[in-house]
Amino acid sequence: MEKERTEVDELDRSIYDFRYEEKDFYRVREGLTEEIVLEISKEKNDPEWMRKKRLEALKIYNELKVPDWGPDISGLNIDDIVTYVRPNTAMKGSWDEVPEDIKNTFERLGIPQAERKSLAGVGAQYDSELVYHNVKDEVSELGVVYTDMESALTGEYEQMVRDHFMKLVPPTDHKFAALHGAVWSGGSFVYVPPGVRVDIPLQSYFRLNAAGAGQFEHTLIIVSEGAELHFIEGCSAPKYNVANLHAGCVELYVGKNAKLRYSTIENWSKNMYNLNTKRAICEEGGIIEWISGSFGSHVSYLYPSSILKGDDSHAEFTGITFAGSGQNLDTGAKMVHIGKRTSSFINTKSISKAGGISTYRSSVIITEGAVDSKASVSCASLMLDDISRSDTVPAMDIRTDRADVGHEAKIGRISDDAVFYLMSRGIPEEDAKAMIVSGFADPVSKELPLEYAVEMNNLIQLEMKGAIG
Amino acid sequence: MALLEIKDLCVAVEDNEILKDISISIGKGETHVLMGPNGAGKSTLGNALMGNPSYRVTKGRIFFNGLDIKDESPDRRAKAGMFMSFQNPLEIPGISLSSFIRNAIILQTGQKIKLTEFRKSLSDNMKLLSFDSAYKDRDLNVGFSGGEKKKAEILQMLMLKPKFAILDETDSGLDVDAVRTVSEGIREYQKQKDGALLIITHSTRILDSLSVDRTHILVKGRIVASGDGSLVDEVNLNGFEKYM
Amino acid sequence: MEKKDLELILNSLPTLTWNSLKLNSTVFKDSIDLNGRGECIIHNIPSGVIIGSEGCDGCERGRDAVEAISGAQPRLKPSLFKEMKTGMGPEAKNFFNKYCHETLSIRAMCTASADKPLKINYLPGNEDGYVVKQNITAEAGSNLTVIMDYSGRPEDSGFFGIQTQIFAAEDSVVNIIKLELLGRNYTHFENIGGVVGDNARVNVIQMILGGGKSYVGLNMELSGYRSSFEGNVGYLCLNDQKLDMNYYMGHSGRRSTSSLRVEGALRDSASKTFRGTIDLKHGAKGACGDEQEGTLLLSKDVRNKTLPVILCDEDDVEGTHGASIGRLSAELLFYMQSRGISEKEAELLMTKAKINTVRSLIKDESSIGKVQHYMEEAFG
Repeated sequence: MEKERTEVDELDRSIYDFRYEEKDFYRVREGLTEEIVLEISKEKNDPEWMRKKRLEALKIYNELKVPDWGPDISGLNIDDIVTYVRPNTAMKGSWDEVPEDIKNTFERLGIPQAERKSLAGVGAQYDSELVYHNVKDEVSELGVVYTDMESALTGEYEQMVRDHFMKLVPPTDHKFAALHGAVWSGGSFVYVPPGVRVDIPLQSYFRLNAAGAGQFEHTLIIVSEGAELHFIEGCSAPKYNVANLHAGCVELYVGKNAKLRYSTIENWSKNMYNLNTKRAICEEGGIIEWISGSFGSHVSYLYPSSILKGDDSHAEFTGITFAGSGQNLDTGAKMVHIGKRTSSFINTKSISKAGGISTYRSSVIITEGAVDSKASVSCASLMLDDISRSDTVPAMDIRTDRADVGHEAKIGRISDDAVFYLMSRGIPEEDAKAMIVSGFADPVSKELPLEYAVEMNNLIQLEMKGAIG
Repeated sequence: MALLEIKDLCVAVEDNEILKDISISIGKGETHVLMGPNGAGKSTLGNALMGNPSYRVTKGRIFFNGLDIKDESPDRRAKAGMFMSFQNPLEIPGISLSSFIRNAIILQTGQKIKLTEFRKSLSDNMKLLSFDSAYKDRDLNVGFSGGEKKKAEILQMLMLKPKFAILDETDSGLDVDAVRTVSEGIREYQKQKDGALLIITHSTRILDSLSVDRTHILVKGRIVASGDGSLVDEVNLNGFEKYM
Repeated sequence: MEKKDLELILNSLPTLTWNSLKLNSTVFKDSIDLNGRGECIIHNIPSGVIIGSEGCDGCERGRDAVEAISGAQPRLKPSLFKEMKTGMGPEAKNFFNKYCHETLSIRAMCTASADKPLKINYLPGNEDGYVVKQNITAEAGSNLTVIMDYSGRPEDSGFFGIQTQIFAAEDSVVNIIKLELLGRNYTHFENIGGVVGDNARVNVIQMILGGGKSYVGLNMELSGYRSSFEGNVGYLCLNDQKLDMNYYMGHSGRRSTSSLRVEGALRDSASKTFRGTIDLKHGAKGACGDEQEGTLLLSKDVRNKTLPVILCDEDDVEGTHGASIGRLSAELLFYMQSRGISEKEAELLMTKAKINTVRSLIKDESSIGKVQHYMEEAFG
């Protein structure tokens, strides 16, 4: 048993832990000063309004306090973080032109295969910049725009970007939103025209290769009236002994009767501080669906929020968090009901093992005007041993009587009876437990595209093999 | 004039039309049976008659005692003398069976009733239904078995004395003894109150000891056959196949 | 006596969440006249129960807490009540220490049995400001029931603060029934703390029906093996009443159990905040905590905040919570209407039903009568 555990652990990380030298990469100095922000802005050829926005955000960053309520982030010192690392390549539209080591990275992560098989378009970000972006012809012919944020800033969509960029998540939202506003780089811009339904998903993959660096990509998606989109993001990084930081920002605008599904499998390395902000706003009849798997990071603060502004709009959040050794993952969701007859569902699962800490945190707010709204929250936590920890902190604020809010939560461990039952059918204990945990995670994995469901299941299997001796 | 007159009734749930052009006329004191396979829309008719807001009347009219009740709220229909025995009666913690019935009687009639009189009548009816009298002080339907819930529904019918009662699958999930006592209660209602009935069922067990005036067969939202009580025996023998 | 300007941080959550929700704690700021007027009537003292009464000085040095009870876990030590945590938090406890007008120490000897309850009536009159404490000790194997009510005329205003600390030694059973029937303009502090020993049980029933602004906290430490706590709270908030609650059940004892049920209704422009925390501490193997909340919302201007927390630092445990908040469900309303009950009547019936689910746990006739009377008065 002991032997296999070691082997498995090595196998586990080897999928993500390989790394390449940063050859000829351009990087700014560590820390965060006006000088550095201006340097990034210059490097990126920002339009003037963006340069101003960055400086404003920096000012706000310096004024805001670090949150006093979540996991400890004192191990993160912004003075040690390199906020901008540019790989030595321009963005490519053809896979063959991507430099060899970067290409190898993504190939080992299975990115182009997935594109060929089942994706409408792919973006790949390496450190601070996108290195590859491609959309299938039939998708661009529909008028769908999928490009890197930098191109969007200066191209024909500049005004649209300007109207939406950090309007949903203003830099004043919290300290790390301000940080993002100051040093953001990379990410994707997606525009789906009215009535266009993109049947197969678009995907962005984020890879942070440089040690001691931060990744601050910005994702801006606008799904117009009656349109439909599924967007997938994947994240990973090799493990270093120094802290890395991810403070991305996702802004999703879901138009009237539009539908957006946003899926994430996050597997950052376990030295990562993942302080990410994701937010969606739905117009009348709009639907936002979040699927979120959090496996990596040393510390996570992640609460995708949905603002149900339009009447009859709807939000769903399905999430799983797996906190292992050395991890403190504080995840959940926020729902704000504004329109009439709006509805939201939160369904989360969390698993804690080997000293890992997982916290489910949420807030559901039904405002005065959100009459005849419905909200339901269901969260379940599994404790795999007695050295781990799992907390549940779900808040509800209801300001109208014409609401129906239900909540249920459960914390416990794997039932001995279930393990015994499986073992009585000849299944070894370790596999029995892994099966039960997979079953526990099933409501999330069945919402993912097949490749991702498989990846998630592999992650669980690998984590479980190491967990039980 | 018929007690209940259903004319060309169409009913939708959300956006699906379930019932199409239903017309049934039920006279005072008559017992009608509505049969049909699962999913035919039988319970939909019961709910629509009683005014469940989840069931939308898209066409047609419902007259009760000569008055169009299509737009009346369920409590107004009940006050007018309608009743429905629910397929899945709700549990109400904090209100005992007896106080619920008493409240309903007072609110329906707008008159106080003498406590002694009420208690006597409640106890008689519970006896008739072989319903343990201890249940009168228990919270309504909370922790009741399936059979006890159905007995509690029939008890409410006997106590509230409606002119017309819909029994929605009152026999489903009951054992032989329970079906017998429930039928007993129904017979009592027929006899004593001269009450009209619409018995919705997909089996015929509950009908064995009841006299039936009319039988309607509902398939896929339409009435495909109507006849007298003998139609029940026919369905009993041959099932619904020939109507499908 | 002059009015006291008070600014206190009350009902702090044991863990923090987003500050913007304003749930982490409540700031109490008011000027109150603590004139000490108010009356306390004790009757019906059961055999085996000793009651001591003291003025406000020396509360913590009182004779109630001087001797150790052998074998009880944790041991009763002189400083027990002084160190005991209470639900409203340390600033509230300081307030009680500083301004307390009367302390009752109640001790149930092992010979005490539950045949009859101890009854205490607190009668703070109109414009009175009255602060009292109770230190309750249940010796090993004892059985104690205390029923207390705080009553006033509906139109009365004033301040009433009560702190009840409970130590339940091994194998003891303590039942506390609290009926809050204060005037509609009363400010009320209800600060409860408790430590539960091996195989001991503490049951608390609270009916919170009156008061204008009520701050209620409970902190129950389930330290003993198989110790248990059961809390049942029924409340009614009408007009512009404010109710701010903070319940904490700390499980450190193996196989300890806690269950908390909170049922109530909000009408007019009433607002309520409920915080409930089950803390399953490391080592509390086999512990089990459950918390259920049901809130009926009856008017468009009501405000309800709910935060049910589970903290879990142990695997062999079970923690559950559930909440259901809203107006009458469509199904239930249809069921009631099909029996001839109108929507308004159904709401009233269901409000009474919510209160009844908790009231029905009280076995004392005169208490039931008081609640009944108050309810009838409230609903006219």
